[in-house]
Amino acid sequence: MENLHQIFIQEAAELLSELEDALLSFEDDLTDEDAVQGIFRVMHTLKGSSAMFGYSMVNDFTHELEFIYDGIREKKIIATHEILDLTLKSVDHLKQLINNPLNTSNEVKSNQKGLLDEIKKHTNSNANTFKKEVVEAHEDEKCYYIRFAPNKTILKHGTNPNYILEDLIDLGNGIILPSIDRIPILSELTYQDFYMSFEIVLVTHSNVKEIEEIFMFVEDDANIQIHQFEFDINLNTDLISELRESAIEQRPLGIDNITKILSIKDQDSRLSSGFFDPQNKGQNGTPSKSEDKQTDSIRVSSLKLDEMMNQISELVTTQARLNMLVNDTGDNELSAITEGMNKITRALRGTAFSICLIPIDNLMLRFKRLIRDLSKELDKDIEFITSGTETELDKSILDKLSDPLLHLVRNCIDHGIETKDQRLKSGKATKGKISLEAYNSGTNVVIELKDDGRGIDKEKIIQKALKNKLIKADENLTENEIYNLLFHPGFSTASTVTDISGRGVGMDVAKRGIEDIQGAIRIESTLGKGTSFKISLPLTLSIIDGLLVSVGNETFILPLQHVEKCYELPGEFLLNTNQPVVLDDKRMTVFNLREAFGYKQTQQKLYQVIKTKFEGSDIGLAVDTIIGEHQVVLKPLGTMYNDQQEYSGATILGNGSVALVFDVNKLVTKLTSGEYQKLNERKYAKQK
Amino acid sequence: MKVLIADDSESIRELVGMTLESAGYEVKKAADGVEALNMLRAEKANQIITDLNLPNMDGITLVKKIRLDPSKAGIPILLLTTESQVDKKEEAKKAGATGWIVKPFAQEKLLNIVKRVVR
Amino acid sequence: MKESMQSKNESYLTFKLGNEVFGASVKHVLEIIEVPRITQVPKAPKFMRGVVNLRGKVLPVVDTRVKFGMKTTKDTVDTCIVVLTIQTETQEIILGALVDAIDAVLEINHQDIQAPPVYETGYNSDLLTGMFKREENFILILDFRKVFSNAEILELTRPEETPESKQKKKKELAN
Repeated sequence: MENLHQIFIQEAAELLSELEDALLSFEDDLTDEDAVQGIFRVMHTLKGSSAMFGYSMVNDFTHELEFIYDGIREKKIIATHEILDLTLKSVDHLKQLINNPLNTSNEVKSNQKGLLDEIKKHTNSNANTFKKEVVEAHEDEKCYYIRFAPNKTILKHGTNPNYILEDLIDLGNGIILPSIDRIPILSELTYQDFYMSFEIVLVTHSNVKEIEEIFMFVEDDANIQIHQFEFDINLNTDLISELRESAIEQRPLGIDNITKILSIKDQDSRLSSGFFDPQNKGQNGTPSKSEDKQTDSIRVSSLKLDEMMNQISELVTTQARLNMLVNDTGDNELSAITEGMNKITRALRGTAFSICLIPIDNLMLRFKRLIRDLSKELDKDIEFITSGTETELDKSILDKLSDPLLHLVRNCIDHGIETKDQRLKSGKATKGKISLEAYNSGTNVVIELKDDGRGIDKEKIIQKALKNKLIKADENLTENEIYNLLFHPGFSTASTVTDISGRGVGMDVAKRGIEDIQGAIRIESTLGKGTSFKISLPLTLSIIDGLLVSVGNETFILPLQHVEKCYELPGEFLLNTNQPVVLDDKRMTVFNLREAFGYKQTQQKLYQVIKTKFEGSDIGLAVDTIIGEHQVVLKPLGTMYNDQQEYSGATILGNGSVALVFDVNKLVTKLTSGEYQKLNERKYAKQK
Repeated sequence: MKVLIADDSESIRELVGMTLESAGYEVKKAADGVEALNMLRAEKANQIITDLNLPNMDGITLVKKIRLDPSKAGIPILLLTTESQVDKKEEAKKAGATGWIVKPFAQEKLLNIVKRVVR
Repeated sequence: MKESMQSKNESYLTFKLGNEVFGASVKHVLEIIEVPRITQVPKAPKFMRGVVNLRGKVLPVVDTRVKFGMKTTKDTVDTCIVVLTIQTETQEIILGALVDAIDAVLEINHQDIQAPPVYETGYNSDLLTGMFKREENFILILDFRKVFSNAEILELTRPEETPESKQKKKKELAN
């Protein structure tokens, strides 16, 4: 049952998200009938399932809320922005209820009550009173005469009259007298029709209601009479055989005859008054319209997905080894077969990866709501445009992207877009525009967040950075370097610290969050016109396009996304671990990895230097040789290497050996902080 | 004994499935009316339980369509309704439904009603 | 009567580190492999030898001698890796422990395990769970879980050493 609860909670979360989306688009066009249908349907589903799983507060709440939208679609209530606001607030409340079902604090309760009061104002809710069934007390045994004459068409409704008879007799003790008086001649007989009828004499403890219940589904399909005899009857074998015999001569016997037979044993017979007629209700409802959403997907546990990915990765690795061996043998037929296998494996891997990919639009949805609420709060008019929402990303990347992106969006609204007045003054439309675009570029996914706000004032940044001693007065910074100061911890140009974006804590956390998923962020801006944040992310974290290099006796992988350019450098230029060098007319620091890692120093004739970017500036990493490009399946190093953050993992090469994969950001951080230096110095000191 | 449950709420499908399976029924699940019909075409069911509100084809239309097919005559169809839709019962009956179950229902009740119409 | 005592038999893997023979329950042992090419991780703690390829998985290898604070020696043809699975509070770790040689798998009865040595042999009794006499020698019984779930070097020998030997050990570890 635990598992079912989980499913319900997940489902409810999705429903609420769907509801929110529908409400937001409804808000744009209050005449959209399809939207109302959609809203109503979601509320209805939520109402039903919440009741099933014991979420009574949710059930009660959606019950009332549903009335509004029922009223709207029946055109009895007119949709207004006020109602929309109320509904959105209600969705927030529902989210609270679903996420914290155990929180039945007074705050939650009064919130519910407050919202409900508001809701009821709109629906003039006639309290729907439902008839609570009153169960009569059981008494001693009673005797009933029951006539059950099903309509001809009863079988068409899937009813099996036998079951009804069985159930009746199960109530106590009784006898069934079937009548075949309605059966037509053979030529008129149709097998779909039912021609029998029954009389039942039943002695039972049950009351009339319970008997009626057995007929609950067939009330309209049969002629049913229930008659309770007032006298006690002992339905013994004598009576039964007498009833049977009489029935042979005349069927149906009819209540009078049966009464006669039964009451012979009892001289003080009195017929009870009236028959019990199962009641008929009759009201036509309108059929619900059909929805247009097709869902043909299945839920898969992410553990299973991980398992599958692991297995496929191993398949790829083993395949690589097989290839190597087959190449060595030179057997043509074997080569052909393995080539075929390669194709299949590659295709399989492609499919497996795409299974783990999720479209971005889910993330985009969250922002729609945020922007709406925030812009209202700040009294700014903002239009939010999304495109490329079907672009897919690995789920684990998507999960980690949401916070950083959220923060950037907040920042746009808070600092980027100006107030309506300010915009008018600068000749812009009062409505600000924020756009979020996602697209594929090579093996990356790019997400661009643009606004047409006030842009970034480079001067202000420089001033602030000077003030906070982040830079020196005479430093000549490129535009990029200036913008990157925004990401520096402890930086903020907002004159007041708003609690919406917080202090400069936000931007640097956002950047780190993006880097954690091996992504990069780049800012572009024009003062007065707007700003854009360009985030590029790898498609997946577990397969990396890398550059295979060797340092000392070991081979390493450098993720290609960090490789900008490669140079050759004669050994004499790299005498120190940490050497400023000029390449391509640009000055950069080059780190001698061989030295840093403490490998024996041989006088290398030529070093290969790989240029990469670190916090906006160029850095060079000198390795012994560059072997070539290599696609690797990333495997974790394990917790025992937790301190070795400069490696994001390791991979198995085609020849079976293990190559470590660099996390370039962390590696360069360690290099620049001089940590390797310290470790080496300690070692050298010992050796003296 | 095969039972087909059609409901757009996954949690309800799972709950009904679990309840019936533990009583020995084989349960097939459909998320909407179209899927339900497809499943019925492919495989016979001894009983059908469907929600009134389904995407793509509502419950009552589903019942009508099932009843149109002579090969499916006599299969009991139960509708899941909420208390406020009590008036829909009439319509459902006219369409050919066998009976109904009111939401929310206890698992015990579901089993009893199912047993009432199919054995 | 005798039968019930027999049920307390457990299998122990015995192996050599230097001149000592150690034993540990096989319940943590997944397999034993020869030493393949070990990829070193630069600037990792000394007791981490590196990583190896175990059928497509990356297996970290611990130099058990270093972990116990013993002097390191060259690997020989008998050196092998015991692949272990260790359950910590938060997760299951799979790692390889480098040993000088594998001895045998013994069925040891719970009752035959004596209390771990205290002062005479100079070993840290916190790590050793017991001692088993086999013919003329003693096998030191330890718990793999205790030894390897900790990411630090564990002092196998008691602190009651002379200050000089302690200093010497410290120097070796720092290297």
